[in-house]
Amino acid sequence: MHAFATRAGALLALGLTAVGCGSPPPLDKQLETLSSWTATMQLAREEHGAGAITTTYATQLRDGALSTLEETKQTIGQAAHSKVDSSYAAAALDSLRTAIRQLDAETGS
Amino acid sequence: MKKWSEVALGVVTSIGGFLEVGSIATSTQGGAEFGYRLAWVLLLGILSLAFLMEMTGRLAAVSKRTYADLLRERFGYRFFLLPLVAVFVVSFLVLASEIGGVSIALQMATGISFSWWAIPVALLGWALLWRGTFGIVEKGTALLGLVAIVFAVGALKLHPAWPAVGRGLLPWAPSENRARYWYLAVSILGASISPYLYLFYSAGAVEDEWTIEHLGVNRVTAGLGNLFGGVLAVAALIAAALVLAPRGIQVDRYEQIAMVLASPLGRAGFVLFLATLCITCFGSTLEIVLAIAYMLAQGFGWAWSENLKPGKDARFAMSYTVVILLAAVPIAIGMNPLALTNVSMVATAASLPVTVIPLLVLMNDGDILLNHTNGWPSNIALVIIALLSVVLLLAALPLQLLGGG
Amino acid sequence: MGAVHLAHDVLDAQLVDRAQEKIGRVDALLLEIEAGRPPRVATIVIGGAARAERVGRWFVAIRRAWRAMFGQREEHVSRIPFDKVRRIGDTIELDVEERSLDSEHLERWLKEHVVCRIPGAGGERK
Repeated sequence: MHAFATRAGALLALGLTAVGCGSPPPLDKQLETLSSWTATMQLAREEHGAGAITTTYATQLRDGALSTLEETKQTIGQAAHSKVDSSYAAAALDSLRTAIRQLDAETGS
Repeated sequence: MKKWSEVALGVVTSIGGFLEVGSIATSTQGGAEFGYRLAWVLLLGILSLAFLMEMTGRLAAVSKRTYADLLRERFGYRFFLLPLVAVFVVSFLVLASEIGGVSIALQMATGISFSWWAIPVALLGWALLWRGTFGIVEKGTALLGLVAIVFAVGALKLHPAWPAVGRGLLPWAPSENRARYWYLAVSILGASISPYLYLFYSAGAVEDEWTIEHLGVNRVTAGLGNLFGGVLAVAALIAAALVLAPRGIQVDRYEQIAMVLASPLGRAGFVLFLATLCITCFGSTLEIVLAIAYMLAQGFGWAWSENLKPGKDARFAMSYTVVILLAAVPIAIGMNPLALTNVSMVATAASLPVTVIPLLVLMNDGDILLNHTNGWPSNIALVIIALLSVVLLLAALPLQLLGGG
Repeated sequence: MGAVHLAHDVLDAQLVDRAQEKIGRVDALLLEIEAGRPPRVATIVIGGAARAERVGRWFVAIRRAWRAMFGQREEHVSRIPFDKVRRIGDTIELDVEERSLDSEHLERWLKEHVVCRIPGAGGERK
């Protein structure tokens, strides 16, 4: 009886997590997020170059971009259903990666 | 002469008081995603708040009792529990968000992660409440809150196209991205029309011992103060519309907002942005926790006043102590401050009916307000605001699910 | 004193003591009903238990459970004879002293055991 309850509980928990996680956001929303952060990196590079923002702060922005990149890498695969979609996704991820690298170069990290 | 200094203080308090983590977050998100098109919603929120504050201020000045006092006295304990619980829960969420705002500002300045700042910030706030008087809390946050004017300076430096801004102040509905637009509209209204604001204002009027002589001061403070404060929120929206929107930058994290003032104003803008975020959120932290403690004390009939030493109003003092420390927990354990803010703004919007609708009764009660009951313009405004609050209640949950982003 | 509308003017009104200090609100009123005589207002009741009863049995049960968590079993309720009322106005003045009221128990307990242990708590006004 006890064993059954434990197993049922584990299955329930697993089921709830699967349902709770839900489906990833639609592809265009994810592409939007990637381009938003790419632009953020570019603006940050400009502002840092002009001495408007501190390196400490620029680093935090970069960390935000990096974690968005990592998260989206996981979920964008599920949202891209065609070859065209996948190429858009790859390009967007690449742009963000480049922009992050460029900010790193600017801040000297 | 004294009256004019009171007016000045009241207006100054409202300038920094309107702007806090909710308005900064929702205005900049709105500006980034929809340009000037949400400005009319902000204007609607500002006007509604001005009317509501004038009314709760009038209640306090004429009856010498706060809005919370009157909610219990005129509607009875059973009914009173409804606004009490609603205001407590919603204000607690907003309070946690404000602590988050201060913490994020400190993180951006020092590099030390925001979750480490939550408890120190709460302790500092507690110490100021424990030792400070109402006057100190009011005047201190008012004067320091003037730093928020940097938003107006930044917006002006970006040279907005004023005709376009004017068009944004007229009601508008989008043909695409509708769920997201109306979701942001609801959160902007929740950020502008917060029950703790007009509850705190009413209690403050009693703390400052307002009388019928203060009705003029009340009108000017509630009107002008919120107008000036609201202008700063519109400025934040404009700045985001000109710096973020053209680049397609959407606000996913608080850190992105600082760029909005760093762009036009350089390093000074960046530093003053951090100062504004820190100070206005800290001021709101004190205001909200006091508003919660006031509502509890006034509802239950305890001794209360920020001008009394804690030994004379132990239950009131322990209320704000416990609440401020508990409210630091969500941020201290690392909850996402922006997500917390967005949820608390929508929750606020949904909770409005229970603190707006009773005013329809109270503001027309001649026993309480003598011959200062609402004229027909105030009543019309109040009915419109009450209807708006019901619409927000019905729309909040669907929009959070559809447009929550 | 003339006609007093109980529900409107007395119930839930703020109470103050001889020194004009706040001592709670009128949480309940007890009427004395004797055969052959009109009912008279006999007692003002102050206390959380009295408030809870006005809401309903479910609320009383929740409250009891909540208090049991803190080990609170004793109810601190004050029953004050109506003839102690000196004045009915914006507040109701009672001819009692805060010290004698059981309903102020929590206030006194917190003051002694918590508040006054923290520096800066003593004295009258700031």
